[in-house]
Amino acid sequence: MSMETRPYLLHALSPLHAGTGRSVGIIDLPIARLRATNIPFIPGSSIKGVLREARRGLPEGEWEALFGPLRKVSGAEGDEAWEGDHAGALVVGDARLVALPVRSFVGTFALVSSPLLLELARRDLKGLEGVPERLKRVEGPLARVGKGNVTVAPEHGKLFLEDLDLDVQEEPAVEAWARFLARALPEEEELMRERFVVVDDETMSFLLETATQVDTRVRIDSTTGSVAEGALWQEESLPAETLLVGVLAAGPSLRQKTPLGAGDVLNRALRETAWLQLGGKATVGRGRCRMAAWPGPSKESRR
Amino acid sequence: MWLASSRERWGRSAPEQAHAGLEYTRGAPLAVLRNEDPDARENWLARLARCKEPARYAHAYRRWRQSLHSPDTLCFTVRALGRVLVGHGTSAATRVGLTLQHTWGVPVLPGSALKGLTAHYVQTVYGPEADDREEPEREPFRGTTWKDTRPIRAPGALFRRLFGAPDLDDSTGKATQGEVIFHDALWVPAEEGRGAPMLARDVLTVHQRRYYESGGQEWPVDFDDPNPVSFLTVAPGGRFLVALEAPGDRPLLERAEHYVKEALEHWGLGGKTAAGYGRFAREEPMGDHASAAARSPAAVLQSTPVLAELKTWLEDQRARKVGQRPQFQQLERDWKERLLELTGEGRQAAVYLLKQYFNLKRGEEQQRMEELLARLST
Repeated sequence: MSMETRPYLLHALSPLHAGTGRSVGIIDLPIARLRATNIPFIPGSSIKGVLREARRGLPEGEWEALFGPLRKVSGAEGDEAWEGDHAGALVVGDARLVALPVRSFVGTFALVSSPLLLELARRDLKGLEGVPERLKRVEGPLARVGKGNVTVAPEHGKLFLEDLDLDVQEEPAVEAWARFLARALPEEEELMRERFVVVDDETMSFLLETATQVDTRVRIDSTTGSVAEGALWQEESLPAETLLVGVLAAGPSLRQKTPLGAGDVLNRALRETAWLQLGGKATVGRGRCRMAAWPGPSKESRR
Repeated sequence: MWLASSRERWGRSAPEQAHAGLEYTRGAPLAVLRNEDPDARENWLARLARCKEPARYAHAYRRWRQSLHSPDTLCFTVRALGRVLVGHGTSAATRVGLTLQHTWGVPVLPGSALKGLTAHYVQTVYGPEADDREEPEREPFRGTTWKDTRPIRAPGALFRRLFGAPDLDDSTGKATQGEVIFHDALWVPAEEGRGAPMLARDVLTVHQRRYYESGGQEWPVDFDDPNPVSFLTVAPGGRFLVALEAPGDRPLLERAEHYVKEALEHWGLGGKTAAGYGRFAREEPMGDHASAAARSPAAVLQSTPVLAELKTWLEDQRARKVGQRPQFQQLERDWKERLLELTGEGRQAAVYLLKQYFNLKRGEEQQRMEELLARLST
């Protein structure tokens, strides 16, 4: 059986809250992070369910072939196999952060990445044409930028991000990365190119902790019009304009009478830009994202 | 690396380059924080009030607008009749906060504020007046009843559909998600209409300080020194794009729209509504049509999910060489309803698309096709 993989880019249009539901810190509802590296991510399981709904327009047979049939009975009783039962052909991987928008005193915000984030992204992007070279680690704190970055303060030649002042160095590979990421979303190229910044890994892990969006929310008591007792909480999210990268994989369809090759499965899953509502707090507008793939041939067939 | 004195000097960067939210919460000059010089505070706020929307914001807004072209969403713009103050309880150097969009630093009406306001409005205006009185026609609008932090009574049927309901402890009601999505209402950039200033300075003067500080123990008298507190609010005249979404249920969506509009007009959003802040008027969708005329059918096709889907389907049919008549029959069966749900430019684009792919020569199919095109064209 041959599997094919294809990377995708997630672009957040509104704050994105993929939460853990519990907290040990001062933020009541923090976002999910990878255990070892503390990098924010969105579990593939949340993406798959939403993608399934977004692709309702597919013919019934193909839809089931991609995502697997829905259980007829929920719970443990539904575990029994029935005639024609099969697994979905599509595998949805986690989406990992690749660039975090960080507020800047000059140029509104920078899309900040780091050698580690890019190296992990390179792993996912393997197989695509023109993936930029790895960026060398450097002694921090230092920010590397491309030509014409709008977030560099012209008088000081420094970057003022949130609470940090960072020295700046020009590096052509940074621009190459911005251009490469923008190939999945061509109309965003200017915006990404002029704001893309690569900081050292230590600075990045500081920003991952401190530069996310934290909203204070309350519940108002409808009889008094003031905050209900004990109903004040803080909620963390990845800000709008965040970029994440993940991988979709697929095998051939396992559904009888719906023959689809692995490539067809991926084409149907990614065929046009999808608007998805991902993560928690969706009914107050959190998590509107678009999912896009890089154009061009996919030669990453693995046997 | 940490707060250097050079920070004080970026103050000269152009107002369309700055991030108003970041400067307001994290960038106050030391003189303001130490309260040394009243002029410093005034100058600083005046500078912030001159902030304009960032250079690329209009692009981000257009893309947001495009993502909302679907029959499941309903958008309208509202104009602020007075000042708006959302999030004044959050921390800021001036001790009065202000919620701005995190990434772009432009004013925003958070989806959570819109949803909370609308829920509150619906249960107060349409819901039962008291817990015990029998009012069957008002029952669907009943809000969730809370005791401290626990819900003790499930909301009415319609309230539950619009806003969802929490789990009850005694398992008489299960939690459900609200069916309507209240998106953040984003600031409408200047190029989409009359450009209005984003922020404005405001002042609140406390006259009876000792009365408030003692919690009413001391009498309010006129001998206290007035204590003016200056802060920022969203300026009057700003426009916001309210966007609601409810997959597959247009009537519910229109109901939600009606309540949001009423609540924004009558009650107002955010803080200090008792002093007239936060009132909005819904704008006639005139501006929409003007901009719609400028969009080509191809652009509409791309941004409307139903039509993009239809186009893929049609291409597929053509590739498989399905005959025109069976293809049309299937179109009637699977697509007609969905196409008729479209409005305005969506319908025009649908006509454009169908004319491209269908060329029925005769028979009743041809007549039915013409009927469909006529219905879409009205």
